[in-house]
Amino acid sequence: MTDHDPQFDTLPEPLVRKLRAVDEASRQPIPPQIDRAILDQATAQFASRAVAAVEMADKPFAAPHVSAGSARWMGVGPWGWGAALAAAVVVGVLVFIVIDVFNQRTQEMLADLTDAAKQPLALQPGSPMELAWDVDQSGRLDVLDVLILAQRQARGDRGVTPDILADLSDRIVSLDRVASGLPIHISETAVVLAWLGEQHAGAQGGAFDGWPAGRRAL
Amino acid sequence: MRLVGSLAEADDERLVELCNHGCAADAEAAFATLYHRHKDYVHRLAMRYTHGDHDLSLDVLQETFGYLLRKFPPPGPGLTLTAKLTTFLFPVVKHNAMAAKRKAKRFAPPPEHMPEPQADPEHQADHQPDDIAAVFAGLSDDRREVLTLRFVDGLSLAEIAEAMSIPVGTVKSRIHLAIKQLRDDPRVREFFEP
Repeated sequence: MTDHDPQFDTLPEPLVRKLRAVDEASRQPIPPQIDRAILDQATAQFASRAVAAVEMADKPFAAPHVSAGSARWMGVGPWGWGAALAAAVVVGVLVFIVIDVFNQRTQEMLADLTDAAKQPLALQPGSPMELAWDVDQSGRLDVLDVLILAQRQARGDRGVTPDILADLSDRIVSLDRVASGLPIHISETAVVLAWLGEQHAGAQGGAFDGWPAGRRAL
Repeated sequence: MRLVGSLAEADDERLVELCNHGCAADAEAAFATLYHRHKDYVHRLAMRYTHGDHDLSLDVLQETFGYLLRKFPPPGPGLTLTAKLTTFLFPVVKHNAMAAKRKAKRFAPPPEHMPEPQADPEHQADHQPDDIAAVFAGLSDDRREVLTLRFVDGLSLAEIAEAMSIPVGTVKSRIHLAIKQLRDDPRVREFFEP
């Protein structure tokens, strides 16, 4: 549109009236049957909306939004609220009892474990440990057994190796420490083992080297 | 709540809202109001696009309001008007009219069996004096369409653009060229003379 001119943007009013008259002349009436058909179609469609609304209302969980103040909750009544409160109290008491019993059982188990730890190491009759290392038949694995075993090893008993002696010593020391309740304990076992080391070194004219690598007498 | 008594004064947006969310009775009444308010406009458009075929235009009328009806729930999602309802209806009518014409042409009898057109002396006499219809028929479809929407139906440039899905500038251009063509036509030149 290069030659924009306002006279080309509007039509003269007489011509507009003529155009409208021509358009009106072409009009023909709409038969009532057409009106009826279209409006009946609308009636049928919107009637299905009413049916759908009734079906939604009949569904038990159809309500899409339930607030705390809605009739659904208001209908519970005072007896219902009382029953709910009583049920909550009963549940609370049951939970308290269960927790209390659990605590008591836990305390008892801890006490049993502590008592057991304080008892001297007693070998179970016939256990492999008793058969193997309770050489003095005292019924417990203790430093005397280690002493006897150390003497055997010093005499050349090949059944007793420095590794076995070291493991037994560690075990006896750790058990002795648990029984005494001391965090750091230089027990009689350690003293005896130190003495054994000195004796062994003196007999061989040098430092005791019977300990496994990385181990030394206390 | 029954609103039937006040529906005649309600605007299209309110009626569409009732059709979308009103109860069955209100929606039915609102749709009936919309129908009676716009059926002549739709029928007139249908007559234009079917080139005066009354039967086809009635088919288009039913198709168009059936389409509008299906927009409302159920089963439709609801109609949101972003412009006048007539602007919404225009492309629907045009599409339905084109489809009806194509279908009518497809099922039309062979030319040798078609009845001879009857000459209507009164009809010819009506249009002979000013030749307005003939002058309009001489315009291209695009120019005649925008000119009719603008000056016969009274749509604004923006409404025409939205209804036809074309830019406003294109609407202006078509109107400008149509008026220029009319001014150059000796049969209607007298209307433009001062």
